[in-house]
Formats: sequence, C-alpha cells, structure tokens
Amino acid sequence: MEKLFVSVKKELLLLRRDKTGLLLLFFMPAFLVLIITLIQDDLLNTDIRILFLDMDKGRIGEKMEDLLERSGNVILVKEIEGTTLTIDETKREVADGTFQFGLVIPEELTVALEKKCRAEIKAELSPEKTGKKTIDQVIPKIQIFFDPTVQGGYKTAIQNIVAGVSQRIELELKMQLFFQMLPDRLLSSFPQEMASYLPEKEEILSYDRLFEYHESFIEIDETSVTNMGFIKTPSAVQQNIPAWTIFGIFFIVVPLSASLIKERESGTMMKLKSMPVSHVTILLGKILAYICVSFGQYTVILGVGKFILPLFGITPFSIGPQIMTFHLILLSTICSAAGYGIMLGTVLKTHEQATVFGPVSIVIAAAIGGIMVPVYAMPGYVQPFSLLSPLFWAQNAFHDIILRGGDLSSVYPEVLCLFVFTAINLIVARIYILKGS
Amino acid sequence: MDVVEAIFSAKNLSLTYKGALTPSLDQVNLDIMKGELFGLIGPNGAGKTTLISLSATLLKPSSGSLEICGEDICTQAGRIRKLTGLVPQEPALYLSLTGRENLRYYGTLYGIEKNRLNKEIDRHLKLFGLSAKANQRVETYSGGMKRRINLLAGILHRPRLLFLDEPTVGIDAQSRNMIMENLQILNKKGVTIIYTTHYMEEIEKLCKRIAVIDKGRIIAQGNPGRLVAQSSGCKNLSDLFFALTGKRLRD
Repeated sequence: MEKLFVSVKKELLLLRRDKTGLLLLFFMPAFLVLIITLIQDDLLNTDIRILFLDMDKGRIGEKMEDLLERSGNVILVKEIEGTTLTIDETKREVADGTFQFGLVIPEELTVALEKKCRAEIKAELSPEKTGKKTIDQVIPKIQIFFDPTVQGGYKTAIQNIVAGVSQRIELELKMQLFFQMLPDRLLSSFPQEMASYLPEKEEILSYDRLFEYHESFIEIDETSVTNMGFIKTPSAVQQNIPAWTIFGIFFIVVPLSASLIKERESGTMMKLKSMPVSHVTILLGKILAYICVSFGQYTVILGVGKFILPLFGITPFSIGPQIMTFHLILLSTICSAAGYGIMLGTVLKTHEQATVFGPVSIVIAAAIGGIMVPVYAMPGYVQPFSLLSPLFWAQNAFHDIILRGGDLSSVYPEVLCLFVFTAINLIVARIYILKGS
Repeated sequence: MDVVEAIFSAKNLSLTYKGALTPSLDQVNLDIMKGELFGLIGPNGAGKTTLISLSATLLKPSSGSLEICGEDICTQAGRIRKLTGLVPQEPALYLSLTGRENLRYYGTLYGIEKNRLNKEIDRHLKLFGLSAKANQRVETYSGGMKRRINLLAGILHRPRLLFLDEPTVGIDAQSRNMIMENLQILNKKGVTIIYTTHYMEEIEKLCKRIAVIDKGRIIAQGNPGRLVAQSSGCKNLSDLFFALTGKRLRD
C-alpha cells in the first residue's frame, strides 16, 4: 500500500512541477468552456446585419424591408457613412468581408409581379377558364450576395428568411388583387335583374384589414421532451460543461503516455522493473494520480460554470439531482482516458509519437463524438462512427443525467462501455509489456 | 576452513533476442563468490548489459540457468529483486524531483521503513557529498552528481549483490574517485559487486577477479594481474583486452 501511495505521490509531484502540462490540463478546458459558452450564448442573441438595397422603390421593396425588420433576427443597413448604396458598392462591401450578406430588391419588381399576378388571377376568373396559368411575364430576381466565408447554416437561415418573406408578399399581393378583381367577375356573371340584390363593389373590396401585418395565428410552442422526464432547459452552459470537461479529461492522455515513454527512454522503467514492486502498482499509481488530476480539472470547470459564467449573465451550471450517477460517469470517463493513455504510452515508441498521436486521436474522437458539432447535425455517413467514440458515450451519459432527467438505469450502458474500454486498453498495454519482456 | 559460496552462478546461460540470428549470450558459465568485487569487461555489444539485465531479472534466458543468492532467476525473480541492486548505465532518475525525493521514492519501493529510510538517505547523501544539494531538483545537478545519486538509489536498501553497469561514464575525476572509494567501502562491508566498465584502470584498481566477454562468450576469467602475466606481449590489462578482443571497431 505504501508503494502505491509513494507512486501516486511521485506522479503528482512530477505533474505539479510541469507548469506547461498543468496549464494544458487545467487552464485549457476551463478557458474553452468559458469562451465557447460565451460565444454560443451570444450567438443566439445576435442579430444578422444585412446590406439592403431597394432598387424597386415599390410596395414589394417596402414590404420586404418591413417584414425583414419585424422578423427579429435581422438588422438592415441601407447606407454606409451617409451614402446610399449602389449594387456595385453592395457587392464590394460583401466581397471585402465588411458585411457577410447583401440583399438587392431589383427595379420594377413590384410592377412585374403585379402584372403577372393580375394576369394569372384574370385567367383564373375568366368564364372561359382558359386554363392558361403560365403568363409570359419575366420577374426580376431578388439577389443575395454572400461572403464566401459564411458557413452553410447561416447561409440557409438568410435564404429561408428571404424566401419566407417573398412568399408572404406574393401571397398577400395575389389575395389583394383577387379581392379587387372578384367583384367585376361576380357582377358580370349575374343576370341584370339580380343586380339590385348584390352588395356594392366597394363593400366587397373592404377587406384591407386582412392584409395588415399581424403575428401568425398559428403559434409554435417549443418544449424539450424526453422519455426520462424533463428537468432542465438545454442551454449553452448545460451542454458545454460536460462536453469540454470530457475533452479536458481525455487530454490527460498526453502527459500520461509521455510520462511512460519518458520513463522507458530514461531507463527509470528498467530500474523499476528490477525492483521488488509489481508493474501493476506502478501503473495503478499513475492511474490514481491522474484520477486526482481529472477530478481537479472537473472542479475547475464546474467552478467556471457555477461562478464565472453567471458573472456574464449566463444561467449557472446545474448537475441536477443525480449527483452520485453524475460522478460515476465522471469516474468512468477518467478511467477510460487513463486506460487509453497507459495503452498509448506502452504501444508508442517515442515521446514525439505520443505528443502528436495522442492529441490528434482525441480531437478526432471528440469531433466524431459530438463534442464540437452535435451528432445529429453531422452527415449521415459519419453518424454511425460516433458510436465508436468514448467521448460520445460519456457525453451522451452526461446529457441523459443533466438534460433528459435520467438516472443510473438510463446511463449504465454508456458507463459500462467506458469501463470496458478502460479494460481493453489496459489488456493491450499488458500484452505489450509482456511482449517487451 | 571457510567455504565461500557462490552468490552468482551461471550454467550454460544463453540468450538470443527475438529476431536475432546470433545469441547475445552463448553458453556462459560463471561463478561469482560472496564478497567479491568482480569486473566484467568487453567491447560494445559483447553481452555485458545483457548479462546484467538477466541478473537483474529484466530478461529470461533462452537456455541454461542463473542462480542469484541461491535463487533461480526464472522462478524467484521477486525474491532476487529484494536482495539485489541495479545501477544502470544512464542515471535512472526523475529530473524534476529533488535528489532526496528520488531516493525516498526508490527507498520506499524497496520496502525500507520510513524512519530508517530518512536516516539512510541523510547518511548516504553525506557520504557521497550530496547533502548540500539534496533538496534541489536533479535537473540542476552536474553529471557527476547525477551518477552519485543514481548509485545511491541502488544501494540504499543494502543489497547483497550490486550490479553496476558503467557507473562512471562521462564524469570528472573527482566524482569517479569518490564513487570508486565508496564502492570499496561498500564491498568491505560485505556487498558483492559486479562491475562493468570500459576503463581498464578502474578494473585494475578495484577488482581481484575479472571476466572478459566477447560475442556473448566468456573468453577469459581470473585475476587481472595473473591473466596479464600469462599472456605474452601484454604489459597491462589494456594490452590483454586488445589481445583477446582485437582492435576492430565494434559499433
């Protein structure tokens, strides 16, 4: 027992004196949590600035401006430093990257659209019902300029907003024209003797209030649902703390594997093997030391979530009622990271290999495991690979506990997978050690 | 009449590394008696470190047997490890720990009780002139100091048999002298020492019996003076060494 204790103490002493390693292990994940949570929280509340050039000067341009501004996510910029925009300036500003989006409502759009709608309605209302629905009227196109650096999600969001607003304008115009043209059609289709019984044309036309702006009658109610019972509204902090804690924990792989390789290279491992102490004690000493380190990492990150982020107006992180289960997941995550570190330290030959392969493999496992981008947002062919990432198992288990209201019964498969992953790594390491002797 | 027992006894000891075409140790027969300070010399790649590694239970022989302190290295490795000490070629130390912390770590792993360990550490640090820098990190030590701490880490537990693999490589004359003096003291206290080196004058000064090893075989063994005298044209151990192993480079 004393041999194990002195091994743990030695590892902790070595770590304490490795300032860069400490920075990597403690500061980096805490900083990541802070920055990423702040950015993501801000993203949700940030309006998108769009250069807006209305060359139509008709009702469509006005309506488009009005509806986009009412959409709540968009700020329209119509002039720069007091100068009205031109199409070339709009393009240039976007090309320079000063603005990410430019929206141009072309000349004569209102006139052309009205003509086309009128012709279409007229054809529809005609007693002959010609059936000719395609009217040869060219509609000038609305142009959206994108900065090439704009990512797909934002591009789609802007396209959807503009497309939605355009459809609404077109529908409103069609309806208004329909109500304008309908009375003539009605009056012309009744026999002359019934004319006195019909309402006045002006009465038929008095439906303008229908087309005034109002919120949609159909409301959308957003609720997070789960089979386990809802407890916590998903937020950037609830999602980021577990994700980046897992990421930080897995980074113990770097110093852990490097320490094993260093011991091998310096001859200390050979010396230890010649001493009356089992290899298991030496490795267990390392694992226990890094378990302490990882609990320290978690405490720092938890501190950021509970005390630092609220200073920026963000809701504090909450573990929820399943504290024991939460810590069991944490322990299984730490063990799997330690096991992986031991395996790499045994299998890899040089310090350089460990410092390159270790972090790269973790970043890949984090990427496919949904730490950086949610798994559901990944391409379909990548998603099955997520199931292979221990970081995914850990994150899924944490989410079950803190977002979906799960308990031990809902997370035991993931916890089991993490412990099995640990065991497999240690077995591989053991095989290599025996092979080496 | 006292019967001197062999503390190290190799019988037809052979070892061929996996994938190697020739054995690194080939039918080695060697007895080293209790209380000896035995020198093992040979060119690079001759098999010295392999023999030390086998003796320290780091490797297992392909054939033959090796008994240390009466115990077989294949079946009683754990017991042998308690009775022996290894001072490897390169200082096996944690550079960011202090000299004292390194010794405390190794001493505890050898199972030395805490109070006794602290006393032994203080005593040895003083003996090897390291007390003043004991609480400084090893990375700040000179080459000679590292070698001395490395040696201390192998003798704190008072081993019955000590393996020294070129312990004086690359250090100044003073440190070398101090190490050799202390090894003689240690030997006088009853510790059997197997000493490998490339410095012939060290062997001549320290060892009453030596073995010359080349290509995995023991090619000569006995008292260095007598071996030199028996070889015509040899004035000293260096001449004998070249006469036995040749002058061709062995890198």
